[in-house]
Amino acid sequence: MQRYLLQRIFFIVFSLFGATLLAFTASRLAPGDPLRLMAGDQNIPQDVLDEWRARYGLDQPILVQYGYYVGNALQGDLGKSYHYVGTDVTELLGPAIVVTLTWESIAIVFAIIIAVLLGVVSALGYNTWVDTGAMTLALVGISLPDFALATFMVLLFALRLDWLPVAGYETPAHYVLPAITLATRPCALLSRLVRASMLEVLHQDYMTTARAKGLSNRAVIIRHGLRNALFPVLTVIGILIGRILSGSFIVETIFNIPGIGRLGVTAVLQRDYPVILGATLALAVAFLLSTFVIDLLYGVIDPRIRTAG
Amino acid sequence: MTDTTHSTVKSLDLPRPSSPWIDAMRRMMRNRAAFVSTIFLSGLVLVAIFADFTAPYDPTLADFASIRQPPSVEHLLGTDEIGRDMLSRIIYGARISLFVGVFVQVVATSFGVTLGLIAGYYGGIVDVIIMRAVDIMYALPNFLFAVFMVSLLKPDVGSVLLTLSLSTWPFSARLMRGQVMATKNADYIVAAKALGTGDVRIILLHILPNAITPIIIQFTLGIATVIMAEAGLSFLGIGIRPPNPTWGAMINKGREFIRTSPHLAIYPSIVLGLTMIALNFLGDGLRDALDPRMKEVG
Repeated sequence: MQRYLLQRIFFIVFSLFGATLLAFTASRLAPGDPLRLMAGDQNIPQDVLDEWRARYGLDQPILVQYGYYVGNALQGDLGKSYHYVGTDVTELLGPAIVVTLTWESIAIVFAIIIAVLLGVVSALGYNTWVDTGAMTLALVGISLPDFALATFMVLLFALRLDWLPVAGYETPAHYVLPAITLATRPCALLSRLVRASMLEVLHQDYMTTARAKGLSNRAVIIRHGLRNALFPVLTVIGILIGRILSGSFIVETIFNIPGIGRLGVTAVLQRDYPVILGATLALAVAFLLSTFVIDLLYGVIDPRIRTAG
Repeated sequence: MTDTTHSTVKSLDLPRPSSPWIDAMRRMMRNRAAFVSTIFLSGLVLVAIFADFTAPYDPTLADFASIRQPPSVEHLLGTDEIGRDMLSRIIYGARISLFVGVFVQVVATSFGVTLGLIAGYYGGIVDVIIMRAVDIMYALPNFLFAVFMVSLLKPDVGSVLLTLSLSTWPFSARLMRGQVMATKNADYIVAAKALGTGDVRIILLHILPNAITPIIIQFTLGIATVIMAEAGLSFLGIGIRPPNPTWGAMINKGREFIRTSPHLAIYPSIVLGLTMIALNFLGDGLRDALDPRMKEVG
């Protein structure tokens, strides 16, 4: 187990370096002089620009610059925004991460609960109309693009019925439409997986044994069935959480939520490279951490892993 | 005597010519959802290919005398904010979406499958290098990466194709590698090796055909993902630029007028949604038909 954990940690660090190096190189090869971008409309003499270039280390080779970046990042300094001159990237990222985590954790919890319910119900009603209906619904859910879904829901629930606000993030009511939009796809994917996994488990010998012991149907399904069925689902939940965290660009843009997704997209449009890099880093960390936490959870759910080497 | 023999032969109910592929196609056509989806997609492909004939108007022709008209006999799906015919724009938009989806999948799958084959077959350092590259691509926030790349390049079809191909190949590489790992120690591969068959021949004739099923399924489902990603880029205003009609851009523009003229956003959303649903049903149908044993994996 320890060796495995060390391997995983090494893998995370490696992936982080790779992903940031790639994003870093791309941002440095990008057209447009960062200093000119920082200067905006002001006319700044060449010698001042050169001095700035030296101060920010922009006259060094890319790998050296990347070295500086990593060194600073390890000390919690991700540089300053080009667009909001003088503002630290971390100052922009911090509140955005909090906003994103708040509304997306609602979406994630919602997605998992509905997915498990749908998946178990379909598996128990295998090949009945409940199963077919739930799985057709799931496939439609997988297929609907989030912006199309968001458009429909805003039109129906916000404009026609006037039940919910169109956009913003001030009250819990503001979270409802974005959370449903974001949760739909992962929820649909998961419910199919829960169903497949549950179907496999239902015919195992230990299920028959549990029933033979005289356990109630509910106890058999929840304690013996679901626990084993959720095992393969867990990996996917980890990946999905990572994807949800990084997949919020469109939803946050549509609903005007000042989270990390909208920050990232705005930064791209403004060519604010330090912020783009910061957002990439934050999202990569979120993705890798969520898969890591899931790996650890395996040990909790499945005692076989805890005891194995 | 001769007669008997003759009648026996005659009465033998010879099975129709069959192969695993024909069987699979038959199984698939029995799946109603997949069947309807195939017809829908074929229709869409034909309409898109022959857009010059099927679209009633020039998709970029503005008519300021009739802006944001609701559906009528002249304009079946109405007109947009500068009076262009919505139906024609949706038809030409289908051309772009389908082209991007198929092209990216062809490039990314070929690339990914080749790398996956090499990684899985040869193992060792080659495997480590290729798979670590895949890991890095997985860790990168995919969509932000695409948005970023397209914004760095010229905003045209080429950049979108390149960017989406770059962010899509790791999926088929990982899938293919897994398939190779599962088959490469099978007895028939060992036998082929013992007979002195070359690596290329083993890979092309023995490993690839046995691993092709999940690749075909992933290819189909991947088209949906790529179309969605392209629409997402267009929706954010990055990528393929106006006046080229793309579904994503139409939906985005339409949202500005959603209070007064919801049809601007609704019709492209419906067509995009239906296309996604059809592709997913088709992919699912293929999965069930090609490999009935295969379990659903995400």
